[in-house]
Amino acid sequence: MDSIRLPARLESIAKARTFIQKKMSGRNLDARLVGRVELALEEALVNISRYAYPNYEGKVEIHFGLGDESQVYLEIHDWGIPFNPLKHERPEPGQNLFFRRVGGWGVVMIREMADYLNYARTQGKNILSLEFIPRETKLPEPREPEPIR
Amino acid sequence: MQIFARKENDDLVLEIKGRIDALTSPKLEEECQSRIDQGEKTFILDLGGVEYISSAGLRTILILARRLNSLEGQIRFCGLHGMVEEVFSISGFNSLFSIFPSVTVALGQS
Repeated sequence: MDSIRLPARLESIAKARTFIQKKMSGRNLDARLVGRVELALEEALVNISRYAYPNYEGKVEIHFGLGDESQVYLEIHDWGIPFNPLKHERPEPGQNLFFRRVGGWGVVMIREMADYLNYARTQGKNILSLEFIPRETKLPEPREPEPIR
Repeated sequence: MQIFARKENDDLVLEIKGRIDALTSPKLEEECQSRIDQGEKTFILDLGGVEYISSAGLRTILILARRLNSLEGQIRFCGLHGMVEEVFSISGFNSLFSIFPSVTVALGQS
């Protein structure tokens, strides 16, 4: 896996994204798959930038790998406070969505975008492992309207 | 991200292009707030040119919607497709807001 280490702040999102985009470009990957990876990465980085290091600016490391069948592997490491996004409660969509706390969707997005997720806390490090599998996303071709006779 | 604004009678159409993410959504929030300050109350967000939205973008939309709600204003959406449509669906935004297939249809709802 290739990796990049960046300061854990919002501005690093652009660099992190460029890093994975370069790895994914020219690999004939489905645009939808690329979008899912980018979204999960952003949401993870936003969470780490905002919450992992309350008292100082820490680091975040992104590891990227590509499988033989175009699976994308992403690992996000940080040395901040322990946080297991898999145990985070999903906010209930519903009528009160409009008025409830703004936010909380980042973790939901990560979970929806990735096909497999794993979290480990080892040696003072949060390790979030994500795997993205190309899905059949092809929609039927739009049909031509019947000519009016 | 680029924002193109135009008036259609009393409605303000914001045509957004590019990505609405954690880095660009503050700009969208700023633009919307300044339009509210100018007295705009009916917003139509045309997302036909948006290929990516993250939860930071959802947050901005929710803040805008709440502000408009308190002013008895309205917000409508059109042009949702691909990933943007998926994110709206996952978050429940598709059932929370009025979504139309095109600007023309959205304008007809006034």
